[in-house]
Parts: sequence; structure tokens; C-alpha cells
Amino acid sequence: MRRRSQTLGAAGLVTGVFGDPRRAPGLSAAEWDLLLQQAQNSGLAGRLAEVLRAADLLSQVPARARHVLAMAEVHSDKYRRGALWEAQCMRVVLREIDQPVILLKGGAYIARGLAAGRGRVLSDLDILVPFDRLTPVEEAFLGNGWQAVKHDDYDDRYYRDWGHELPPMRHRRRGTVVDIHHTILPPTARYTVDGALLLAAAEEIPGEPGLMTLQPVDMVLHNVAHLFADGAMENGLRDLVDLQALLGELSRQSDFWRRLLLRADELNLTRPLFYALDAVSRLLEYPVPMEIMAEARAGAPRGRGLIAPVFDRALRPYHTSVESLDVRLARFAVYLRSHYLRMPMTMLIPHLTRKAVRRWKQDEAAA
Amino acid sequence: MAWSDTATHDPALLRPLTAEALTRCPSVIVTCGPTVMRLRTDSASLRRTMALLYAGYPGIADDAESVIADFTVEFRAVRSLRAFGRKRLALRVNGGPMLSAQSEHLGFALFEWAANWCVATFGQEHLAIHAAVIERNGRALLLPGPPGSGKSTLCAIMVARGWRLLTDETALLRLRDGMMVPVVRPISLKNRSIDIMRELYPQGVFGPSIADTEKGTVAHLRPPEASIAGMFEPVPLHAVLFPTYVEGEEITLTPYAKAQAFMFLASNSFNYDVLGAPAFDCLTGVIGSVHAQTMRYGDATAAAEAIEAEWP
Repeated sequence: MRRRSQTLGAAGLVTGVFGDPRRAPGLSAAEWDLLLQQAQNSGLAGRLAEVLRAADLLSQVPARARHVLAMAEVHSDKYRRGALWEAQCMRVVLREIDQPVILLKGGAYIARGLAAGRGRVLSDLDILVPFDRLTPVEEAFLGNGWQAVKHDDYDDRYYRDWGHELPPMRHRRRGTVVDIHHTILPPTARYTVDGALLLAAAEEIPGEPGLMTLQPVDMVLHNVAHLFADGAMENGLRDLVDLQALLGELSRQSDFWRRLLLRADELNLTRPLFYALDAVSRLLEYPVPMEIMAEARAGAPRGRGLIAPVFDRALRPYHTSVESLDVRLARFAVYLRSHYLRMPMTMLIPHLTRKAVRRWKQDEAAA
Repeated sequence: MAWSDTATHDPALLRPLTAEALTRCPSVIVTCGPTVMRLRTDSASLRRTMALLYAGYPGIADDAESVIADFTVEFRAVRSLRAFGRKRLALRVNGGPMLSAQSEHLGFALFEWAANWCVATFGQEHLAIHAAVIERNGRALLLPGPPGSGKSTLCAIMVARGWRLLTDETALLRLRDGMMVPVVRPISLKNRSIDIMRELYPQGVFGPSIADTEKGTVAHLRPPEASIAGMFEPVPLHAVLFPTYVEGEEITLTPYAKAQAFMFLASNSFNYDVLGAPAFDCLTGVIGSVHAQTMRYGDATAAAEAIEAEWP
């Protein structure tokens, strides 16, 4: 007997299965087909395979779906190998100037062997260095085969004057891209995070001298900051699935939740943490302890009920089956919000005007 | 025609598609060797070309939406202001963002390119190499070659002379045993070779000539029925031949160093970097056991005769 999954519409397939993988064996072939496409477009096919593997459910999946998932695993394994190799290369480069490599996000999950890194795909590697070391670090990369990704003077100045990272650099032969951060949110933003606090608490990966990651609660808060304080939701669903896996694994450490709340307060991320815990518990059914949720809620604004449906829609997978007008509006609203949060109006208006003019010129040239 | 490939595919995926169903159904599954692809389109002209070139292939026409495909290619007619209201086809892969909107007459050429890309991107149990593969008497030849080497034309000529087509574009080398796996799809002919083939192979089934593509005019040649019938029959590789067309040149066959052949094939693979070590192991094993040669030629028919003399 096949259990019908009447609760999962097209919009709830990915979140439904990540929320509870035991729903997967009950999906129809048509639902599987849609689920796999949505997962692929959202960078989650490899994660899906690993989540089903970890839950020992792959054998209950239709053979064709297993085939597609196996392909996704091969694909994501390439990213894992690539990230580990790239981390070693960067360690060698920065050893010259006696600077450890602090991996962020996907690269960190993979290098630490965390569940969030299994099946994870990534487009570039993000690292964190002290603000006053940016110049020597940039020079070390430029002297060892990396070069600036082509962009115009305006972008370059934007990164350097207002950004929390250097303009991206690409390795000449391997084609890999590194983003060098000095903190995790732009200094011009509504929420700012002191990079020095993150650096001071960073932890070395056992057996890998010179290779570090943020401490566990900071890894969680970086994810939270990226999604809900920077408001960058281009990979929103993937990042929320990261958060679910990070919480699931790291919360086993003693006193994790208490330290997470305290650290959020220290890093000025109380409100984004509430949004994140709210979203991960509602959309991915993550069991945030009740008293922690209650405390996090204290940091929430009064109008929070209005913004949640917007986040929910912006966090949909990328697929024509779920691209209704409200989803497009939500994505646009999130885009506006991210800019509103990133810089004050006196900077924002000239910035967006420039970008609009440039896009218009490019369209003209392309037409 | 009936296929049996129950080792890889559900028998439901192996019912022959009729021309009528391909013309009528807005969504079809075409099974092509190891690949299960879905084409969804509202363009009647694209469906007619599909019916001409894919009728008789295994697949599903009437209930194509209930199948888990390797990939879905979708063409929807859109009218845009920029094209002054003319009908254009918007291309999507796997329900993702719209990739391009092009004139409707390009539909089939775009479908074939999208399918090539998908076969190379979404299939990872084979090393996918940019090369043609043909076979006769159990001997499979791999013909790599950059555009302009004459690979496609030479491949079409060999097929017209009775060789079996495995692929004209994407050679699949199965990692677990190093066998060449067919992914038999129409041969894509460009510019002058369209007329050459129409003359050399009057009994061939040709799709419409599609002008103004990025590669000039292209037309597609339906594989012979025997090649289609053999789409689930892999063969071991027998030899590698690097063809180079040079106008007015006599035929010369020269041995090619295996290490060089390996490097060429690895760097002309679509997924060597994705597969990593298993691809290295498989390709070194296969190249180590076969001869590699280069062939310079100025006349394709003479080249075909030379190939048949070399591998009778």
C-alpha cells in the first residue's frame, strides 16, 4: 500500500521531504519527478541523496529516482573533493604570511565533516581574515595564481569601501573562486558584526594546522546572518537546509542553545536568529526547544507576523511549478529588503540607480 | 520492434513511440540507451520533426508525466515585444529558469543541443567524451575531433555504408567495465555535409534544414533502424582514430602515442573532472588496450574506404 502524501503540494515537496525524510517512500512517480527537479534547481539534489542515505531510506525509493540521486551524489562529491583540495592550496599560500585559513559556510561544513556538508554543492570558497591583514592576504593570493574576477571600477570600489569582503578572485588554472571576508555583514548594514569577535573564537580543525572554522555557534549564526540579516536568499532554501543540519548536529553539544542565544546577543543578531529559528521550525519542522523559541521571540519585532509569509515564499525552490506571482513578488520584496538592510538610503538610491542603468545598457547591447 | 533491457529500464519505458503519438502528445518520454529524457512542447512544428526522427524509439507518449526522467527539456511558445510579437520558443531544462527564447524554426536543433548537454551533465556512470562511435563486425571505433575535423560527416558516411551508429557526438564509456554504450540519436550534419549526405545516402531520413543556427545550417539524419534496434547493446572499444580533414590531402594513417590519446580524450570529456579517479582508471585501462591513430584525409569517401580496409 502506498501512503498518499496529500499534505505536500508542489510548493511543499522539498521542505516536506527534508522536514521528514520518511515521507519520501510514499511519493508517487510524478511527485518524485518534480521533487528531483526542484531539488536540482535549488542545489539540493546531493543533499537529498545524503539525507535519504542517512535515514536508511534509499532502498525504499523507486529505482529511477535512486538512479538520479546517485548521479547527484557523484556530482556533489566533486564539490567535496574540490573544496578540500582548494582549502589545502589556500593553506599553503597563506602559510607564507603566517596567516591561518578560516573556512566559512559550505567549505567549513565539508572540511569539518559535518552532516551539512554531505552532498553540499558550492560555487566558491569563503574565508575569513582579520581586517588589518586584508592587503597582505590579497597580495599572497595574487602572487600565487589567483587574479581578480573581471568587474568594473564601480564594483571594485563598492567591495573595498562598503563591503565585508574583497572583490572575488579566481585561480588562473583551476578556475576556482575565493571570497575573502573580514566580517560576515557589510559595515554599512543595519546589523553589523565585529569580525574580531568571530576571529577570536575560531577553532582549528583537529589534525589540520593552519586550517580553521568558526566555533559551532558562530557557524550557525553566520548562516542566520546571511539569510535573515543580509537577506541574501538566492540560495535561501539550500541555506535553510544547511541550518537544519547544523542545528541537528551541533545542538548535541552541552549547553548549545543557551550559548547560541548569548552569542546572538553579543553579535547583534538576536532578531535574525528569531526569524531563522521560526523559519526552520515551521518550514522544515525542526524541533527548536520551546523555552528557547520563547526567548528568541523576545528579540522579535511586533510586525513579525507580516514578514514570515514573505520569507516563506522567497524560500521556495526554483521551479516553474511554484513560480506564482506571489512568489515573484516575495523574491522582489526580499531583494529590496536586503538592499535596505545593507546600506542607508543615501547610499542605496545612487547604488540601485547605477545598477539599473548598467543593466539597461547591457540589455541594449545584447538586443 | 521490441527491446529488452530490463536490467536498466522498466519495460514500461520500452514501448515503441508511434509517429502519431509524437505528433499529438504535448509531453513524451524518449528512452535513448541509458538515458530517459522528457520533451514537453506546445510547438506543433517541433513535434512533427520529433515524429520524423524519433518514431519507433522506445518511450512513453500518453502518460509521460508519471515517469521519473533523467531530465526534462521544455519548449513553450512565447510572444515577446522585442521580437515584434513573433512566436518564439522559450527553452527550460528541469523547470529551471528560461534559458533562451529563439525563433521557432530552430526548435529541433535546440532540442538536440539541450539533450546533448543533459546527457553529458546528468549521466555520471559513464565518462562522456566529445566523439563519434561506430561499429562493424564487433569492432567499435572512437572518432574524436574538434568541430571542423570532419568527424560528423565521416561518421554519417560510415553509417550510410552499413556501420552501426552508437553516437555522433557523445561517446559514453561505461566506468564499471569500459564498454562503449550507445546513446543513438540523430546525426547532426552541418552546412556542406548536408548536401553531400543527401546525395550519398538517398534512402536516409533527413530532418528539415535549419538555417541561421550558431553553427550555420544544420540538418539531422535519422539513424538506420538497425542502429536504433541496437541501442541497448554496448560493445568493447577496438581502436581510436583521430580524423583531420585537410583539403586536397592524400590519406595518411599515423600511429598516435597512447599517452597523448589519453590526454586528448580526457580534456575533450564533458565530465572527467566530475568523475575523478574512476574516470582516470577506466580511460587508462581502455586506451592501454587499443591502438590509436591519426588520419589526415581530403576526401571523405576515400577515408571511409581506408577505414574499411584497416578494420575489415
